[in-house]
Amino acid sequence: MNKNKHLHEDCGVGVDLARRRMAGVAGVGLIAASAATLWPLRTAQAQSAVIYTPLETLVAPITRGARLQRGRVRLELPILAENGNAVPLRVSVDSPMTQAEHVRSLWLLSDRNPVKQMAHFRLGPWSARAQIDTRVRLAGSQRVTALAQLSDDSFWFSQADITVTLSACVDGG
Amino acid sequence: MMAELNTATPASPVVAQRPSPGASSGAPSGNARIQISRGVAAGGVLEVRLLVQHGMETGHRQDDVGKFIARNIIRNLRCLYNGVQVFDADLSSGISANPYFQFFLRATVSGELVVSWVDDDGVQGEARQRVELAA
Repeated sequence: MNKNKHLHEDCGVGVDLARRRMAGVAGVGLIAASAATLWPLRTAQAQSAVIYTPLETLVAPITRGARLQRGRVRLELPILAENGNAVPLRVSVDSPMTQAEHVRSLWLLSDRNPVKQMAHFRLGPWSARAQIDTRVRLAGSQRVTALAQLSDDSFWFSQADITVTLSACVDGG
Repeated sequence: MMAELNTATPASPVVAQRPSPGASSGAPSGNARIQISRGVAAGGVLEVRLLVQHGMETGHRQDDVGKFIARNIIRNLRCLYNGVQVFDADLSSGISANPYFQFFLRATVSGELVVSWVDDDGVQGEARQRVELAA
């Protein structure tokens, strides 16, 4: 019983739930079972201290509920960056860039940076090619999203994961 | 501390804050390099590479006594080709110090590229590059 009680208390959020169950059904086995099932949940919470913004939240202020399609956009960035202060990336969109069909806007979004919208570029048929290279700051390993709005108002996106060994925002810049 | 953090990170989307014409602090300053591809004929594609010298201070860094260093980033950067806007970018602290951009333009006529920007301190910068198209 002592052993089970120890598990029980260690479980933090599960204590109330377990106690309520115990009131109805008096059984040592049940307490142990509930403690065991809640245990991995707690450790998982502890590990995910970093909060990643989901894609829907990232694009919501831009698309305003419009349909979002994966594809047409190509995002090239390194798999691994030693330093998050200046990560080179290239974003290009499959578009003829004519008066009739061109890219109107291009966004670079971060799911971990304090400022989610890293950059917003406005393009047009005068751009000739829908491609932009730049260098971004990344606050740690994350998924970078490139979002494009075409002249027909459709939204297309692409994502790329990157591991950043030394995050920006730590020091130097 | 949280309050300071919040002022340093405005909610997205980032809105370019351009100072009113009267509020700009003096003549354009700043330093930038513009490189364009040579020997391009009218109707061809010009490659433009732009490097702006700017610290892009995020507002998240602290100085030696733990005080947050005020944010100072380029909010908006634009490029005019013979007076017509051909590139416009709203930037944030997510763009590295000394921002670099490579983009493309449809070559129309010989003329001039003018890149201008403004930062959080209201300091404006400008750089020019002559465009000579091949005959």
